[in-house]
Amino acid sequence: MTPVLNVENLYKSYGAIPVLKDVNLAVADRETLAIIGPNGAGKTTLFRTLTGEVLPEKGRIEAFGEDITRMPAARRVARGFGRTFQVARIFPDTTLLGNLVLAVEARKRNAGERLGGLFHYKPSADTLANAEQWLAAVGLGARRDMEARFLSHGDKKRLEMALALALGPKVLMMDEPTAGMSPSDRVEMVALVKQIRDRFGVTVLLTEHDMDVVFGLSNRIMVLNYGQVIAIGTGEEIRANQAVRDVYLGHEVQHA
Amino acid sequence: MLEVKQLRALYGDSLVLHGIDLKIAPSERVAVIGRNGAGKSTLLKSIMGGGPAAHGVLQWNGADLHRLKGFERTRLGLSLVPEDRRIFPHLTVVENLEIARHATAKGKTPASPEAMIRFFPMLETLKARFGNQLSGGQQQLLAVARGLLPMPKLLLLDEPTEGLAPIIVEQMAKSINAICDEHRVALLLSEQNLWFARQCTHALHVLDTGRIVFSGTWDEFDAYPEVRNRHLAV
Amino acid sequence: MLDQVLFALANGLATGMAVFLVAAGVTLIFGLLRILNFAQGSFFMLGAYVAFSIMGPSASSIWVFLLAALVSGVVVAVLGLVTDMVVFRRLRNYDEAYTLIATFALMMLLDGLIKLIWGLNYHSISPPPSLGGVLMFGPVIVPIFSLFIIGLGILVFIILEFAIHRLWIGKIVQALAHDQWMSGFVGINVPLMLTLTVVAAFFLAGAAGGLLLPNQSLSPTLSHAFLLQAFIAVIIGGLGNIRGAFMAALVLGLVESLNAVVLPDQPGVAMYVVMVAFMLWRPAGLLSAGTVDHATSQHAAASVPIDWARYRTMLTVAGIAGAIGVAAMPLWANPGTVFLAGVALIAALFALSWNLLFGTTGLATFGHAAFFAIGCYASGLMLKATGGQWFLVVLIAAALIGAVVAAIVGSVAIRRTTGIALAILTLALSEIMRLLISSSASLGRDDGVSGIPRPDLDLGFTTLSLQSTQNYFWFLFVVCGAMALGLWWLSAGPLGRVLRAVKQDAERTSFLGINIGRYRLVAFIISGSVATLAGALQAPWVQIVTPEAANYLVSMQPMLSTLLGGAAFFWGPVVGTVLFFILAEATRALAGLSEVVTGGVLLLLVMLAPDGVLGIIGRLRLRKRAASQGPKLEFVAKEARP
Repeated sequence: MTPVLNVENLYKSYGAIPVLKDVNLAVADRETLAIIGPNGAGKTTLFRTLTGEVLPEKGRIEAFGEDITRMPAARRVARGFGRTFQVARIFPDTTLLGNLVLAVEARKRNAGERLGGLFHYKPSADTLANAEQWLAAVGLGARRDMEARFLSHGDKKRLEMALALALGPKVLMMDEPTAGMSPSDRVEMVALVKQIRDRFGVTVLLTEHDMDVVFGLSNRIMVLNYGQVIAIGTGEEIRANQAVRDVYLGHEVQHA
Repeated sequence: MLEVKQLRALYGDSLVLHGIDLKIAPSERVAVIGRNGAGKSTLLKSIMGGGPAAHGVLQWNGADLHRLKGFERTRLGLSLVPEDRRIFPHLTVVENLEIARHATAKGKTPASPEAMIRFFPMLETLKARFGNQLSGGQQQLLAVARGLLPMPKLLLLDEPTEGLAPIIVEQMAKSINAICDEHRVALLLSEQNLWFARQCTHALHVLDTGRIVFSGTWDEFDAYPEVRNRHLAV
Repeated sequence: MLDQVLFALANGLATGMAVFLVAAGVTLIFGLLRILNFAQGSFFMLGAYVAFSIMGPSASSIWVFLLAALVSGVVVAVLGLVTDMVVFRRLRNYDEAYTLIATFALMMLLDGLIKLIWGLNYHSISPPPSLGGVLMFGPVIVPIFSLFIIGLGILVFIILEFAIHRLWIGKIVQALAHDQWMSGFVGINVPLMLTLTVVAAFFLAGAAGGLLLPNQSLSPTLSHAFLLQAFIAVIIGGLGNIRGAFMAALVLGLVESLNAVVLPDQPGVAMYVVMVAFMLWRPAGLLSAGTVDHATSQHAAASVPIDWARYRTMLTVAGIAGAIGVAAMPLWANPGTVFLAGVALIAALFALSWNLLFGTTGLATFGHAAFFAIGCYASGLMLKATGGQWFLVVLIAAALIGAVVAAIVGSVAIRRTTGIALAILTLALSEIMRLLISSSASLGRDDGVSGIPRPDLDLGFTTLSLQSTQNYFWFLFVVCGAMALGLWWLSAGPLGRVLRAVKQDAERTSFLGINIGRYRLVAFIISGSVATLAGALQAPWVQIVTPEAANYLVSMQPMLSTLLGGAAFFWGPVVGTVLFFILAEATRALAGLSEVVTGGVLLLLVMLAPDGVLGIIGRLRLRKRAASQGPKLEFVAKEARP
C-alpha cells in the first residue's frame, strides 16, 4: 500500500544554518504520528514544508503517490490536507456558523460544485445544514450565532478543528494542538481528536510539547534534534531510548 | 513585604479577578496554580500595573502601589517575567540583560550580565546573538535571567515552562532555586506545570475563575486531593 | 557634459540631504510610535513660516538666520509636544490605516491654519550674506548654500547614528521602539523617553524648515513638495531605520537631479519609478525587521456587537427616503447645488469602489485616483472624438480599460505586497501617472482637456438627450445607484464572504484551499473598473479634466468619506461622502477655513469614533439599551473601589 505521505531526503537551511538534514518519513493511512524534539530542532520547519508554507531546498514530498514538493499550500488543502495552528486561527469578526459556512463553501468550490443561483447571495440550505453539523461535532452547536472572537482559547481551538474537518481532509496536520491549554482542557482535546480520528478515518500528524498528549494520542513518534531524525517508533520505544532522554525528555519523571 | 487585599481587575466589563488576598514575606516562594483563564497572568500583571485596571489594596512595605507606573514599581524591587518572554529582538543577549539594570531598586546592586549567565550556562555560547536569533527555549531562559539581573526583592514569574522541552524545564528549576537561595529573592510563580512549581516553591494558592480557592503548603495540597480534582481536574 | 553631471551631482546631494532632514523625523516617529506621520511635511512648513516671520525675505546675517531656525525648531517642538499628548497618544493601539488617516487630517488642519495666518502668497527667500555666493571647482559652479545643506545633512546623520548605535540611550530607544510595555518592566521611564524622542523629531522638522528656507519659494504647497519624497525615502530605507532613510534620500536626490538632466520633459518621474521597482523587488524587506506588534488592537468597531437587524427596517426607510430626496433635487434645489450633488453621487460611487478593497478585502490602496483619472481622460477624449455620441459604448469601454489596467497592475502589485507596502506602491504609481499626464502634450499638459460635450444616450429604440443638467443628473443617479446595488450584491454573496475572510485572516483562508491572491486580484479588478467608470461619468458632468484628477489628494477623498461614514458598513462611504460634501460646502468661503474645519472634524472622528458615523449611531443605541437594563456595570465599578 502506498503511504499517505512519503518524505525523502528533505533538506532546508536558513542562511548557513541547516534546519532539516535529509529527513525521511513515511506516514501510513490512518496512523497518528507525533513529531517531537527540543526547541529549534526543526519540528516547525518540517511541519511547514509538509503544509506548503516553506519550500525545501532538496528532497521530495509525495502525497498519495503524487509529487507535491512545490505545490502551493492552498492546492494541498484541495488534495486533502487540513491544518490547525498553534494559536487557533479562526475568523474573529464572523459568527461561528459564518466560520463554518466559509469552510463548507470552500469545500464545495474546491470540489467544483456550484454554490447557488445568480440571485441567491445567501448560503444555501444545504451549506447551512452542513455547517451546523460540524459545529455540533465539536460541541459548539449552541453558540452558532456568537462572533468567534468571544470564544475562549480552548473553544477557538475546537472551532478551528471544525473548520479543518469541514473541508473533508484525509490528513489532519495539527501544530501543537494543546499549546496554552490547562491540563483539563488537554484531556478533553485528546479525547476529541481521538473521537474524530476514529469517526472520520483521518490520518493525524502533530507536533506537541506535552508528553502526556504525545504518548496518549499517537501510534508512532518521531524525534528530531538539530534537523535530524534521532529516533522513530512507538511510545514505549521512544521512552526507553537513551539518546531521546539525553536531548529531550530528561531523566526525572516529571509527574507531580 | 507585598500585601494584596480584595484585589479586583476588569477587562472591559468582565471581572477577571474577584477579590484576591495574598501576602508575600521577604524570600518567601509561592506558586499560583490554576487553569487557563483562571486569572493567574492577570494577577501578576496587576501587581506590576501592566494589566487591566485593578482596584483594591495593593501595598509594598506599607506603601500604595496603585499610583506608581510600571517602571517605578520595578525600582522598588519588583520584577516581572511575562509569559510571552518579550525579549528585545535587536539587542544582543548581553544587552538584553544589561538593559534590566534600569530596574534596580535603591540600595541593591544589579548582577553583571556575566554573573547571570553563570547561573544559566546554556546562554554562555549565545552572548553575542541578537534576541531574534534565539529559539523559544533560549528566549525563555534569557527572559528569566533578565528578570533576575536587578536582584529584585520579589520576582513575578509567569508560566516560564510553557512550550519548553522537559530537559530545559529541569535545568531552569535548578537555576532559579540557586539564585533565589543565594540572593534571598522572593518568588511568585504562576504555573500549570505542577512538577516545576513544586520544585521551586514552598507553598501555593489555587486560583479558579478569579478567586483563590485553596492556600497552603504542598503537603497540605496533597492531603486534599479534592482541590486538585475540582479546580485543576487533571 | 562632465561639468553638467558634476553640477547635477552637487544638486542631487543637496536635494537628498534636504529630504533626509524631513525623513529623519518621520522615521523616528514611526520607529517609536508606529505612526506614519503625514503631517510631518506641514510641521516642516510651519517651521519655514515661523523662520520667515522672524528674518524676512533675506536674513541680515548668518546669526539671524540660525537664530530664526532655532526658534522655529523650538516652536514646532512645543507644538509637537502638544500633538503627541492630544493626538498621538490616542492613536497608539489603532490600526495603521486609521493612524494614517488621522495624521492626514492633522495635515489638512495645519495646512489650513497656515493659510489662514500667512495667506496664499508666494515668497522667495535668499540665503544670508555669507552663504550666498558660489564656489568654482574648475568648470563646476556650486552654490555655497548647497554645500551648507549637504554639510548639515551629514552632521545630523552622524549625530543620530552615533546616538542610536553607540550610546546607551540608543539601546533604550531601540527597546522602546520594539516593545514599550516590556521596556517599562526593565525599569525604563517610558513616558519621559517617548516624549523626549518625539520632541526631538519635531524640533528637527521645525529647524529644517527654517534652515532649508532659502532658495525655496515659500507657499502653502511647500509641505507637499517634501512630504512624498521624505515618505519614499523612509519606506525604501526601511521604516524606523535612520541609516536606511539617509541612503535612500541620497539615492532619491541623485535620481531626481539625473532625471532633470536626462529626461527634462518628465520632471520627477524617475524617483517614483525607482520606488516602484524597489517595492516590487523587496516588499517584505521594507518593514524593518521585527514590527511584531505586541499591542493588542483595541478597536472600538471590533468590540461593539450591534444588532443591526433590529434597525434594518428603520435604516432602509431612511435610505430610500434620502434617495428619493436626492433624485428629486433638480425639482427643488438650485442648479449650483444640483451640480454639487452630481459630483457627490460620483464621489460616493468612487468611495464605494475603494471600500470594496479596504473594508471588505482589507487592502488599503493610496492610488485609487489613478483609475478615476483614467476614466476621466478616456471618456473626455472619446466624447470629444465622437461629438457626444456612443455614450454607453464610451462608458463600457472606460470600465473595460480600468479593468485591464487593474488586472495588469494588480497581478504585479497585489500578489507581491499588502499593508503599507501596497499603500505606498499604489501611491507612487498614481503619482507617476499624474506626472506623465501633466507632461504629455497630447493630453493638454497641466491645462488638461476642456470643452467636453454632454452626450446623448442612444438606447437603440430611442435617444435621450443628456445635454441638460437635469437629465444628466438623473442619468448619474440611475447609473451610480445601479452600480452601488451591484457592489452590494457582490459583497453580500459568496464572493464577499471569501473577501471578508481574506481580510480577517489571509493565511487561514488559504488553508481553506482558497487561492487568496486570485480573490484579491478579482476585488482589485472590480474596484478599479468601478472607479474608472466613476471617472468616466464625471468628465462630461464637469466638462473638463486636468491632471489633478490623479492627485493623491483625490485618492484620499474615498478614504476620508469611508472612515467618516464607517468602513465596516457597506453604505458607510455613501453616508460619509454626503456629510463630507455638506461640511466642505458650508465652509467654502474662506481659504484655509474649509481645511481647518474638515481636517479638525475628521481628526476628532478618527480619534473618538473610528467606526464612523454609523458606528456612533449603533453605539448610542446600545448604551440606551444597556441603561434600560439596569446599572449593572456601575455597581461593579463602585464596589471595586476601596
